[in-house]
Amino acid sequence: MDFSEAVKNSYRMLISNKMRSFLTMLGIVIGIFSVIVVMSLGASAQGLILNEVKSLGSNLVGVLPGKTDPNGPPASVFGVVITTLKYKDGTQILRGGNSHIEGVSMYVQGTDVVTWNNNSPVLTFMGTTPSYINVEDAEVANGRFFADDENDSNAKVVVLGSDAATQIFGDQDPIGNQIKIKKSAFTVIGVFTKRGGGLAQSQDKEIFVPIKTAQNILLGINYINFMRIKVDKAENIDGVISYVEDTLRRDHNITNPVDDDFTVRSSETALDAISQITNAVKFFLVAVSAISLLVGGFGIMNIMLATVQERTKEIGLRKAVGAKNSDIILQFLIETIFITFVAGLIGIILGFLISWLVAVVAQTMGYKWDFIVSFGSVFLGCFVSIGVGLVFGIVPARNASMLNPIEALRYE
Amino acid sequence: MLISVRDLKKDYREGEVVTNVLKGLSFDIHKGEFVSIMGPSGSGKSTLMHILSFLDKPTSGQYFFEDKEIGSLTDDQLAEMRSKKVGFIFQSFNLLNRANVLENVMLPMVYSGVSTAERILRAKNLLGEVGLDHRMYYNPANLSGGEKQRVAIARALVNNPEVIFADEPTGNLDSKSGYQVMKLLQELNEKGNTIILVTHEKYTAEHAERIINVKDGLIINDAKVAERQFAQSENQELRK
Repeated sequence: MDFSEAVKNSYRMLISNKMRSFLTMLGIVIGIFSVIVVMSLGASAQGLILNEVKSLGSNLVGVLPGKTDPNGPPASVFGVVITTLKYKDGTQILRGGNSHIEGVSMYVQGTDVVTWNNNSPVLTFMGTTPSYINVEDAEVANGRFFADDENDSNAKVVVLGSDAATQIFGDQDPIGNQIKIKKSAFTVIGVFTKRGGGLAQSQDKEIFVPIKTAQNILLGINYINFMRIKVDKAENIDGVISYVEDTLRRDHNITNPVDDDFTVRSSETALDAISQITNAVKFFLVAVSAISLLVGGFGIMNIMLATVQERTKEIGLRKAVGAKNSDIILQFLIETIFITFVAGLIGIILGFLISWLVAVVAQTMGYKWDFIVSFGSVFLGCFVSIGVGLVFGIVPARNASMLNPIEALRYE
Repeated sequence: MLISVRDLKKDYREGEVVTNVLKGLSFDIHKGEFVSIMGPSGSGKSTLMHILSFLDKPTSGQYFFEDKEIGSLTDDQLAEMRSKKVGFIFQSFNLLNRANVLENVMLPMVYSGVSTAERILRAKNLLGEVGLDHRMYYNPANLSGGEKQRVAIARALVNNPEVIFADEPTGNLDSKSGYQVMKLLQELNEKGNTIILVTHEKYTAEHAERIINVKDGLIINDAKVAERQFAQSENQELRK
């Protein structure tokens, strides 16, 4: 029995009963299709999220108040207000003179009504240090950012995110105008360049005032919400983290790291955490879609068992004219694998098409969504479909080979 | 000696019940002979043919084919013997309807390791010899019974077998087609082919040179045919 003969037979089987072949293949088509789509969309979505996080700056170290699990979310996510991080912590870190630190920015935030003329949208205001512009790579399109003396003197100046500017002023030039936040009048001194894109775009919607102004006039607090430290090179991040931890422990009189009342983490660890979560989701979805492959496999086994029964006489004839048991096994295995492989190819092509369509739609909606179908997933699709044929074809093939040729020839 | 059988026995066991189908048969068949194995249904003639054609194994006794003992062969070796040494013609033709006539004739060569080009050449030649070269690409389902059996004869010949086994070859045919098939078999025998015909009909059996008459698992008579039937003229009809 040669291979091409077996493949020709398989093809003939496939087209001799198109409806049945179609239904038989459907399970595998759907299974492979969903694995490909899930893997592709998963990779694309993961890439999108990771790119967003990276766009926030990968050489940043964040300092949060309170102790948190290194890979878990900060305590503030759960609505807990922790007041252990102070403005002087930031200045202490700067004063230490670590040469790898390019800047330290600190933040407080609140939300309130902002009024100009008859327009009064609710906006998030961010109190930050003048170093913000350097640490966050922000760019002022119009006007200027506030300076150290304005921060130290609680100056009532404000810089607007591009969307916030439009929201308050519409088409008018905001520079020099006064807006009211919590009954205090603030002079608009600048507007940021539009950032656009996903996560980084929060800057566009917010307004920025000097941090001391925000603490003393708007919020009445003496702590900060978080701090960001810009490191010169990625390889120095770990060194800076230890330096920051040492400094804060010394200033907070902490001897045992277990008692830390702050958390220092790099954006790398955040990236790792996100990767882990998205990977888990991806594999979970792949596992779910793999179940349909299993169901499809049993469907094929069922049909092949019926086929063997139907073709008993053919098997008897083939044995009579010299087919060995191994020839019969091979023939039916190849037939099953042919079906699952063709089904797999259809699934891969459909998966490609749908993933591509989703990418096109996502791109037209403005997401930085890449069309990713890895060679690995195509290879996996082929490999799995052949594997399913092999696994679920072996029992029918063995049954066929075990038929007694005399009885098989008599079978009607 | 082509075939030599000594005290051949075959039992079938079903639970506690043992049926002795063949109860000790001995005979020889020479190369080039045309032998009929004749007997009523249940006589054991089909079982005997299955053993002689390597489809089944005897329970005891010896079977020598070309002086080689067959009883000790494995399943794969028996398959190889079927592939190289014998050709089958069945009562119900056993053609594959999913393949065309040419491919049906080529089928035995798939298992005997003949190259594709050679397969096509041999199959076409044989279809010419049985007068069906114009039906080469037909589906067997669209052929008449006589044509189907001639395709089967071509198929039986493709591997140049030592023996052709014909199991009631005219059983499903009208008398004219039956006559054509018998004529073909006699012509093949004249060309030197050994033919073993299995039938329950005396008239059909008499187309052979010799009849081994089997009844209840024993040979009751083994003799030359006194008045041999010859399928000579197109108009002669096979009597039923």
